Amino acid sequence: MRITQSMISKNLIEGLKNNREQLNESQRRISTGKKHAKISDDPESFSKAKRLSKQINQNNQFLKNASSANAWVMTTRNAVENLSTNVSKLREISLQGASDDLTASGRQALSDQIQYIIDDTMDILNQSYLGKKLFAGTKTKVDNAFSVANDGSISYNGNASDINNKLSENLSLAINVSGQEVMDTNIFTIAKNLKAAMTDGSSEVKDDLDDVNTLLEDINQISTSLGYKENQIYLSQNRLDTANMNLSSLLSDTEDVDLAEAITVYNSQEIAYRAAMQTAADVLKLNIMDYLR
Amino acid sequence: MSITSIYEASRRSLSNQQAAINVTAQNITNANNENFSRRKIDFNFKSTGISSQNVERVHDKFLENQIRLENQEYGRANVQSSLFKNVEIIFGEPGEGSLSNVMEKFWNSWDELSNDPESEVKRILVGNSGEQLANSFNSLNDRMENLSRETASMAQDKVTKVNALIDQLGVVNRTANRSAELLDKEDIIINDLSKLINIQIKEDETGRKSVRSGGYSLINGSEVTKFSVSSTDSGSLQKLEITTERGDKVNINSGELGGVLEFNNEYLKSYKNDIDDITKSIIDKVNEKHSTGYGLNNSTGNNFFAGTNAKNIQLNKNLKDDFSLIATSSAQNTIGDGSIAQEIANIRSTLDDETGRSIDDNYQILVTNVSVDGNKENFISQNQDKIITQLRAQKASYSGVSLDEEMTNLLKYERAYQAAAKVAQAVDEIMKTILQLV
Repeated sequence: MRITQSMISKNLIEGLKNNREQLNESQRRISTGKKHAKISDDPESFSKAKRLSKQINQNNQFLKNASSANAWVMTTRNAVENLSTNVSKLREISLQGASDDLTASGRQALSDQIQYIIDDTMDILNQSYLGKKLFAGTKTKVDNAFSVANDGSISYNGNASDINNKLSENLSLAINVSGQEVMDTNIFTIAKNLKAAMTDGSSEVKDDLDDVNTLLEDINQISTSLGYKENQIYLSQNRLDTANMNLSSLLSDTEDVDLAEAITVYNSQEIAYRAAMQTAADVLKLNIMDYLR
Repeated sequence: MSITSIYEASRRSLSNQQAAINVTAQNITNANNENFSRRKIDFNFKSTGISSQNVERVHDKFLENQIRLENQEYGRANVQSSLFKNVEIIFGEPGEGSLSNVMEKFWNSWDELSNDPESEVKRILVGNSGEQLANSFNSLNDRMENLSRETASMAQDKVTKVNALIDQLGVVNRTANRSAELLDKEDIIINDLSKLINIQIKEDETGRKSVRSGGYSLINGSEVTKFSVSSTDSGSLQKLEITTERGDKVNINSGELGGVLEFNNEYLKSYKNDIDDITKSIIDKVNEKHSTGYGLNNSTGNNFFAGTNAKNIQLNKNLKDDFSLIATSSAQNTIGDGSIAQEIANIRSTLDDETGRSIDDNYQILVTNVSVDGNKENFISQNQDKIITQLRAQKASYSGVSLDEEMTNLLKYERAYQAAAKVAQAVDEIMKTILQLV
């Protein structure tokens, strides 16, 4: 092939330009730590990375949901445990009241205690968490979930709806215990009956004892179901954490640069660049003029 | 044979070597001129001596045509690969302010609100992120329309260039003396033209070129046709077309002009449509859920977004003034119920019945398509560049000036010149000798 001087210099310039481009790209990789700067550098791995980071973000959102659900459920469970304590007290009182050798004033004292328990139960059930009523279903902003009318009857102002929290793509958990569930245990009716029976006499109290036992069972069941919910939240938190760990390492594989490799590549490119410049300098010096005298 | 004829021979020889040195000088002058085809002296002449007819232009017509052909595809792909960089900048993916980030923030804000539907603060967050999403769509739309306007003015520039080149070719065709310089010039013009548009070239018996493009004649002899750009409104993006002076539509499908047209009329238009579709489905799906839900004051039936496409999407005006209208619950008087907010948050990953894809998927596919299309054109452009470089190297190898050769030729001609002078001197001596005989 016939090679002219301008072909040589053009090829040299082209080669050096390519070398510089490669060096620039390697340098960018090392300094940013990312394999690609633009999507078009590698659309496939970009869209994979995007999917992964989206999944991670979504999982983080689920984790947030889970921790707020957890706080709510724990607060609810504490409240229900207090309820359970109250019912246990109620049971003790009714056992005492079932005894025949109790004086009238003793019965009155027990009856007062029952009133105190009813009031405390109302307090527990009207509890708020972060400004929301714990036991009002989804009517979380009512003034009182439970209110006492003038005639002493107790009514529920909330509804029976669930508050659902999303813990994963397919898992929604009802985190609340609605006041209706508590009402359905007849806690107030039983307590009031008991209070009335207390002044009436021991045999009436004995009749109510079975109701109190059932009530205790019912309340404990609610408490157990909350424990089960807590456990479920804990499990999904665990799952999400593990998933995120795996996803993060996948993401890093997809978009992060292996520094050792990148630096090695950079070094070999640098050597190529130096060699190209060296030969360029030598070749361009070759000139027929030096030999014609 | 008379002695005086030897005088004449040596005079002719001197002038021939001089002419050869002149050609060498011209070659050396153009050693670095890519468009120059080196000249060669043909010493095979009759008694009349050297003339311009003996100067041969070393030139390969086949190679030249090959380069022109590849130029057209190179021009198309190259202009697109640089335009695609603009599209990537417009989308700004991956980046903080990219639409995919804003979209994610929007959906997350609904998620947050669903956990805490009583919260005023989280309503403000939803309202703000909704407004941000609408703004992002608006500005994406604006930037696409700007890019379309830019490509329109690019097309105008290219057409102006084409017309100027055609004018120049007309001048070349009208010139009677088709010298080597004129042929060099003609090559440059046609080369430049081939980068701009698709052309077919015909040559008549005198070597004059006629050029056709997209079924219409640009130049035939000295008859010149001018092209112009016309834009028609096709919905949201203007459609660019090339027409002749008589208003006929010309099919320009390669060269830089073809690239600009294809980019605007096909790629950009389809991206714009996709963005509009995505915007519309977000508006429709969010509104569908939102209007069934209840806000803080039992307000219901409100849309969250107003508008139908990326250009006019905005937050519902009433809702913008009063974020308590943002609907979260599925029934009246159930403020703690975030189920509607949750359903809206779920829209992002809900699969469409027809396509089997979610909104997020659709946007992701669009963004990937943009870069895949850009990569395709970039790849073609680089590939064409390599082909053309190779063809140019072949051309340079054949037509380019080699200084080594020219210097050697120079020595050769110089020696021949010296020898011719020597002959003249010898004849002169002979004449002197003869004259002394008298």
